Amino acid sequence: MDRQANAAALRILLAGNPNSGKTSVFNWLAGAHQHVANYPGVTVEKKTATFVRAGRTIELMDLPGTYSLLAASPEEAIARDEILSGNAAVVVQVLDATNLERNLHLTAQLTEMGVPVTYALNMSDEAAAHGLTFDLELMSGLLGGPVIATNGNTGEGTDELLAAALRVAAGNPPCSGRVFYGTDLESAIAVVAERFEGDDAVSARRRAIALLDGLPDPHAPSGALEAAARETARLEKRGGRPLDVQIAETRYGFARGVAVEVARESSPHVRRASTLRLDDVLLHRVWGLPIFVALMWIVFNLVFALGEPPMRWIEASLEWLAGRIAVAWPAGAAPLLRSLLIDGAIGGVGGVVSFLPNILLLFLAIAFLEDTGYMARVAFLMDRIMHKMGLHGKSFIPMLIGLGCTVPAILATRMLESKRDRFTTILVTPFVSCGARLTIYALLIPAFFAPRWRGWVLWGIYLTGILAAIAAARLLRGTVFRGANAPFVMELPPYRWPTWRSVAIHMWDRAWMYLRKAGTVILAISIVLWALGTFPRKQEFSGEETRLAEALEYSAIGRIGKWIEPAIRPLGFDWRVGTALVGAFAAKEVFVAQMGIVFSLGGDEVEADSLRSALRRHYTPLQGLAMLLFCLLSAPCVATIAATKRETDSWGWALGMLLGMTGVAWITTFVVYQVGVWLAWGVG
Amino acid sequence: MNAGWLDWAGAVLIVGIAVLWLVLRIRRNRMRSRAPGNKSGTCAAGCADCPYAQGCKPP
Repeated sequence: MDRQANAAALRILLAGNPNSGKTSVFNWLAGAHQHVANYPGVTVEKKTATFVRAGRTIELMDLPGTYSLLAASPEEAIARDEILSGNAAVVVQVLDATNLERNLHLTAQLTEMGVPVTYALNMSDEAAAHGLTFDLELMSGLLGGPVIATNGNTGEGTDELLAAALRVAAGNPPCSGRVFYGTDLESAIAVVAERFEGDDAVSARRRAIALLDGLPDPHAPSGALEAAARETARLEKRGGRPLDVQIAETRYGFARGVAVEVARESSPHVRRASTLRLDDVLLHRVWGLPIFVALMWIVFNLVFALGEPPMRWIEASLEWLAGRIAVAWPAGAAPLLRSLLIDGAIGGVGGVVSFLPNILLLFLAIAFLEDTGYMARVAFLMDRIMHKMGLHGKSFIPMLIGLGCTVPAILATRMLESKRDRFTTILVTPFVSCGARLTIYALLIPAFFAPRWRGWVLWGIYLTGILAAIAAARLLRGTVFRGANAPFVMELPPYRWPTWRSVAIHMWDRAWMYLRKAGTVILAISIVLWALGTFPRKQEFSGEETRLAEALEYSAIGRIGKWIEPAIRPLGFDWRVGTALVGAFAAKEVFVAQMGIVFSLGGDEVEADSLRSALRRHYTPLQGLAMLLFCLLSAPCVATIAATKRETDSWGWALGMLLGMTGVAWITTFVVYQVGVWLAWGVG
Repeated sequence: MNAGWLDWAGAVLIVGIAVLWLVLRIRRNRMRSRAPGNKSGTCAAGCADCPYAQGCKPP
C-alpha cells in the first residue's frame, strides 16, 4: 500500500454487500446527496467525494455493492479492482446488521487479503427491532478491525466510524482476522505460498488463497501457478466439487460462526414477523400483481389531482411575467428580441417548467415505494413474468430505474452477468417511460382527456410501455439472443418507513436538476428552435390574418416540418408535430418547448393552459392519443443512444435501437390512428 | 435604422451564444466519456444534464 502517495488525500473505500446502506453512510460522511433506495444495485459505479476532516483531506469512494471479491458482474469487478489496487489507506466495510451472516462472507475475503478494514455495523437499530444486539468488542477482535454501530438514516455513529477508519489508516490496525480452512486446504495453501519467494508470510498466504480461489494474479511466479493448478485438481477430486465452492463454504462457515458468536437475541423477531405478514398480502401469487397495478393507478391519479393547483400557480406566474414584458416592451421596438424573449424563451421554457409539480409528485411516490422496500417486492413479483418472457428477473431493476431516466437504467444493466440478458435489457428498457416523457404526457393528457380519465390514460401509457418492453424482450430472446436463463435470487429487504431526510433529498435533487436543465439545455435549444422558426423571413403575404402562419411555414422549421410531413401524415400528425418530434430527439421535454414556440410564433397564445387550448383547437383526441403513443414508443433521446453505444460498444446496436423503436412506434401509432378513424372514435 | 440594426445584432448574438454553448457542451460530454477513468460517477456516462438521473452528480 502506497501510504506516501496518499499523504495529501487519504483514500477511504466504502465496500459491502448490495443494499447494506453504503450510500447512506457515504452521504453522512461526505455530506453528499447520492440517491438511496431500498433495493440492491442502486450504485453501479464508484462515486467519490473529497472533504476535509481532522485536518486531513479525505477522498471517500462509494463502491458498487459486491458479495464477493470473485467478481461475477462488471460492477462487482469495479469494487474488486479498487479494493485490491492497494491505493486505499483503509476499506470501510458496511455490514447489514439484519443480514450479518451473509455480509461476513466478504469480510472473510477482506481480512485474508491483508486489506486494512474498519467495519460499520449498519442498520443496527433495525436489528434491535428484530430483537438482535451485538457484542461489538468481541466482533472487533474476531474480525481484526474496529466495529462501529451506525445508522444510515440518522447518521448515528458515522463520526466515530470515520475516526476509527483514520486510526486504522494511520497504521494502528488491530490484529488481522484469519479464516481456518481445514487441514486439506490449509496444506494446499502452504504448498502454494512457499512458491511466492520474496513475499512475507502474510502476503504469501494471501496470494496463495487468491490463486486457489480463482482470482487472477498477473505477477505470480510460474511455480506458484503450477502448484495452484496441481493442488486445485487434487482437492477438487477429493472434495467432489469445485475448489472455489469449497473455499466459499468454509468462508460461510466462518461467517456463520462469527454471527452466532457476536449476536445476542433479546426478543422475538418482531419486525421480521410484520414483514412476513405484509409479504403474505403484497407477494400473493394471485393478488400481488393486481395490488401493484392498483397502486400505480392511485399514484398516476394523484399526479394529476394534486399536481393541478401548483401547476396552475406556475402557469399564472408565467402568464403574468409574459404580460408584464409585453406591456413594458412595445411591439414596435426591437421586435426580434421581443419575440425571442416572449415566444422563444418563455414560450419554450415556460411550458416545461410548469410541469414541475407533476414530475415531483411522481418521483415522490417512487421514492416512497423504493424506500419502504416495496419496489424490491415488485421486482420479485415481476421475476416470474420476466422469466416467462425470457428475461432475467434482475432486468426489472434497470426498468424501475428507467422510470426516472433511461441513461442510468442502461448503466444499471451492468448488474447482469450474462451478455444476452444485458443486451436484451439495454435494448428494451427505453420502452419504459422516463421522467422526461412525463412532461409530454402532462401536456397532452389534460389537453385531450376529461379530468376523470386523465389518471387512467397515464396509467395505461405506463403499462403499455412496460408491456412493450416485455414483448420486445420476448422477441429478442426468441431470435437474436437465444439461450438459457440464469437463476436469480431477489433479496427482500425488511419494510422500513422512509425518513423525511431521504425523501427531502430526493425531491430537492429532482427539482433542482429539472430547473437547471430547463434553464440551460432547454433554454438554449428553445432559442435555436425560435431562430429556425423565425428565419428565413417571408416578405409578402396573401393576407394579414394568415401572416404569422405563413411566416412560420416559410421558416426553416416550417420547411423541415413540411419535408417530413408525408411520413407522419398517416399517423394523424401535421408538420408542427413533426418538428416537435424531431426536437424531442435532443431531449424529450423539447417536444413541449417546440409546441409552445410553434403555436406562439403562429399567433396562438403561449402559456401552458393556452397551449393546451391551442392543441384542442388544432387536433382531435384521437390525434392526441396517437401523439402519446408515438412519444412513448419512438426512439429515445440522443443521450440514451450514446449510452447504448458505449455499453454495447457497438454503433450497430445503438442505431438498431433507434430504427427499431421508431419502426415499432410508427406501425403501432398507424394501426391505432387508422382504426380510430375507421371507427370514428375521438375524431370530433 | 440604428435600432433595427441593434435588434438584429442582439438576436444573432443570443442565438450564436446558444449554438456555441450547445456545441461546446456536446464536445465536453464526448471528451468526458472518452477520457480514461470515465467510470467514476454516472455523470461521465452522459446523463449530466438529466434531471431524472438517479445519483447523477458532476464528477
